[in-house]
Amino acid sequence: MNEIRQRLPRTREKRRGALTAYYGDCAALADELEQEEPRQRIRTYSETDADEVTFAIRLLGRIRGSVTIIHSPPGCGAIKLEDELKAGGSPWLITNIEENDSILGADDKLREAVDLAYRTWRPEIIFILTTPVVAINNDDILSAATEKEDLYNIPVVPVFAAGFRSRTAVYGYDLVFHALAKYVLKGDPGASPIPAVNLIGAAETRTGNIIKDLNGAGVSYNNVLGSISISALQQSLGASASIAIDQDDARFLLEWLEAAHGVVHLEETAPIGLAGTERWLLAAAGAGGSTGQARAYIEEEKAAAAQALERQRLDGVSVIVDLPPEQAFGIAEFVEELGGVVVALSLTHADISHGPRLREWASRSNPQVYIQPGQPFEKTNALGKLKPALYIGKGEAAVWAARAGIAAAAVDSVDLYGFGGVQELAPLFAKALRNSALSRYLSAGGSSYRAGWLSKSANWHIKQEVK
Amino acid sequence: MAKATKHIAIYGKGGIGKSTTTSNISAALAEAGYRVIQIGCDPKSDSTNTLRGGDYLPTVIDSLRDSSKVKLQDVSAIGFKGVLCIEAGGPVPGVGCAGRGINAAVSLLQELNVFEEYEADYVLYDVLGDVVCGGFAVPIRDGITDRAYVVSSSDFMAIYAANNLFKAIGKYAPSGGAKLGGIIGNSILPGYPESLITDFAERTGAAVAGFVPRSPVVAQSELYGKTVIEASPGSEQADVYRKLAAHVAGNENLSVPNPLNVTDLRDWARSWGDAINQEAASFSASAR
Repeated sequence: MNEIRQRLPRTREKRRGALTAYYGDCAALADELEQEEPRQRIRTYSETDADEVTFAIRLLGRIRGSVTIIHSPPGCGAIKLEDELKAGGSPWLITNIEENDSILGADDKLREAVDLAYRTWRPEIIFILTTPVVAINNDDILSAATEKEDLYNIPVVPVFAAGFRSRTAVYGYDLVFHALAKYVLKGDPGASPIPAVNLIGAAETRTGNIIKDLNGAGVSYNNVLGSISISALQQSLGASASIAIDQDDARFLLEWLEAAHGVVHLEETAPIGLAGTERWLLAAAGAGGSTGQARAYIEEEKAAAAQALERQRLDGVSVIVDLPPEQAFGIAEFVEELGGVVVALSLTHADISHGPRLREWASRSNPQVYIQPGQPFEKTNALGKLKPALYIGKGEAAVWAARAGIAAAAVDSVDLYGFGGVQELAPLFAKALRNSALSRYLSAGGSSYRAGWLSKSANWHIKQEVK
Repeated sequence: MAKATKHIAIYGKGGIGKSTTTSNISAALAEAGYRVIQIGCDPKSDSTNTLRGGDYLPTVIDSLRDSSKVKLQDVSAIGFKGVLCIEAGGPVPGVGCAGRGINAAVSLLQELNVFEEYEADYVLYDVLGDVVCGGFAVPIRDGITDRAYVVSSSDFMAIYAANNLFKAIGKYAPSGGAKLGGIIGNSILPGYPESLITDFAERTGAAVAGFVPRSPVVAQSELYGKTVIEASPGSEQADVYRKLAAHVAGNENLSVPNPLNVTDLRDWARSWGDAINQEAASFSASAR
């Protein structure tokens, strides 16, 4: 992986042909993604959404023993504040770049911030996250990082986010993992391998249910999810294999561990729903040498879940699933397990790695697929045309579905992984369908968009990029 | 009633003689009794050296770094015949953003009401090299200046830079940016250079503001730390600058030039290359 020598990882668009705008069906999208260079589309009207800085901030906040210095004007701190309110996390500072700093260089402020971070928290590692202003000015980060690393004898790691390099926000995770791989995680030829499977997640991961399942299945794991420790990351270099609960989020780390350290990446889809969890647990147990125990555990859990799910069926209910790809495919599969009908998938992005799942869906019911990171207008428009009985997504977008009069379930409020996730998701969907008062009340206020706009097609603003 | 001040930007390839030309125009206008401000828009902050004997002058950006309350006296010096000298300055090489510095410096001078306070007839902006980014285009944007001149020699890269500036003028002129006053041919040797610059001007719809011949008087004056107007006021070269200054001061024939595209510019340059070869060959033949 020569990319580690570079200052930055390649964007998802370059590395995997990621698309962030699309409107069609699963078969057509699978065809497109299998081409050598998928045709990029642009939005002539685009609504605000998360970017690589947002995602990098989220992941850095989950690294235990770290302090993050956000090297930016005050506004970027607002992103961090939002994340803080949602999830808390490790301490952080902001350098508050002003106009003078942007002219004369802000490295003195940065040095002061590193000193303050070290004095205040005595962290194990300090991250310096760059932002658009720093990227445009090409400010010097490395000399301050190197100098302070020598002074304090802890890693001071630059993460070069620009906010505009990639349209795929998850690239922010790649930036963080790349920085860790480049500056922090060093292989030790003398270290003995650990008899465990790396359990890898990213920023927005609840871990309780899947940990319970791994324990039940007798799988030894090295925990690299939730609140991630540097020591667990360091240990991951010596594990027998890696499995992720969302391989899309952790893709850079998974590929780097395999390419640079021979840690096999078990390419398994997210452990969501009954079949999804079974496949995933068997893969993890296969690598960890506990297949027998896993099978017994799975049968027991499936039987318990089947009983509970009898009262939570979605027979014939039309559903739109609007989530990042791995979660969307997992939940869509679970919806079918419950008897529901998936009429559309709305994804934040899709790339070549999602081709097989899209092919699978194409051969089943070939639902519509939209790629809409954020974009409430497109969502509202599509919901108005498809009129599903149930919308499943995240809280911020579920609001738009509820305002369109559609029963909405926000899955970011639950731990959706593993057999425990099954027991949390099914009641959530059933409850959303039962309690339609909220969506009725919200939809009475009318739409935020004019009728003229809503009469256009949902992809009205998506155009082919002309080179 | 406020005086109608003319704001003039002077651009051109790095090292082509912008500061020398601008300082001599300022000196000539001041000598003619006008009130002149010269603003160096270059982080090197060496534009006004020959107007003020080369003494240290704190730049606008340095002053902004040290204090948020900058006064005009802190960042200006009175030079030859009362020319008010200001240097925008910028970051040390390799850090920050010099273009943003030009933007901030010009904004500060506007905030300080410098042009009205000083009752200037002419404000000359001597801008770094080519238009390298949005920051260095600030003097020809947003109505700060209404005219720009480009200093060029007959060297291809100087013409190339002039052509680039024409692109910037073409971009900003429709929204109130500066128009082109003309090309100033600098350091011109006898022979083809004048014809080459004139031809380029004709092809791009630009005017020629004047030609400044190459002269040892210029180098000598600069060695004394002075403009030609001050060091050799009786020289022919001083008269050249006076004539150029009079043209720049009085010229109202402004245009939006039509820059050549890269291929046309290359072809045009090649045709001049051929012409110079033929001229050299016929000169050799007649010498035999």
